[in-house]
Amino acid sequence: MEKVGLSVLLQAGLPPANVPFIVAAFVVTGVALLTYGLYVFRRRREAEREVLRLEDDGRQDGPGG
Amino acid sequence: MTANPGRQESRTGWWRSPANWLLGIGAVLMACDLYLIFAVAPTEAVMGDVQRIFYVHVPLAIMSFLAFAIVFVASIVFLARRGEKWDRVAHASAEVGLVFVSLALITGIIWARPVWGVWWTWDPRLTTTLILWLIYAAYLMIRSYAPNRSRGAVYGAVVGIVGFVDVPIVYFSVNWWRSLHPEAVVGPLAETGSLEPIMTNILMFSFLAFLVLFLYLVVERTALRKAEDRANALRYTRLSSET
Repeated sequence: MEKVGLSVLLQAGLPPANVPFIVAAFVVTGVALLTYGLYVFRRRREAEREVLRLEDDGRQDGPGG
Repeated sequence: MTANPGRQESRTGWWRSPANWLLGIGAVLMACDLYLIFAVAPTEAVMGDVQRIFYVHVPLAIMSFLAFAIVFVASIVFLARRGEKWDRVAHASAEVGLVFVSLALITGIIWARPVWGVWWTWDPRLTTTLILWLIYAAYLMIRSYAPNRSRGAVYGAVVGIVGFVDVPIVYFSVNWWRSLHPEAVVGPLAETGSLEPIMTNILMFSFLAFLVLFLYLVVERTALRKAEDRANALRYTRLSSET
């Protein structure tokens, strides 16, 4: 069976553009990565605030508290 | 009132954090990558413009392989040395890898519809990738449902090691079985000249952009696990001092 490799189109406009599929793929990827990145960033910030709060409480309840 | 040194540093030293640098570099590389994909990359002769999905689909899949390779190595080291640090890296990498393999599957499905005429087919590459997704979803579920964190880490490490077997199967599936999926364009199975040089260069740039983004997410997710572990340890100390 002959293998069909990827080759550059020299005459423009022959294959269909399928724009909605391209837009969908890039938008889904961008939105998903951004949402996941923001989710992790916000959760990390909350967890670090919690650590600082617990450390402050520990210091207050410590020897003098 | 005394200033909290940790809080002070988090306000002034954001640029000292490697994660922030990775995010900044990753954002610039991604912007350049989009320009290269849409303004520089030539239109493919058979598939047309929809082939541009290839520049995100392939790096997403390869980064998920990298993520699961990190899970594999970190899990072995964790079981050998019982170091918490390695468990954090494995956990973070598995979660980020699952995000990447999910997106590789979704972009593949979107690409398949106009090219093959179907959203999904039980092709060997697609089926083994779906199995890969299920393995790492199971990895995260096992960790969540384990009776305690240390047992979850051990069970997860075992799944992380055994589950990695599927990664080479996914990669070689197009050669081992009859497959609709295009042949490998990177790695040992890639044929020289299967891609135009400009397409190869843009694909390599996409790999770099996605690699930086992947590293940022793993670093950030590992830092989150570390902060959660520290908060749990402090809560435990407080509870035990109260009782």
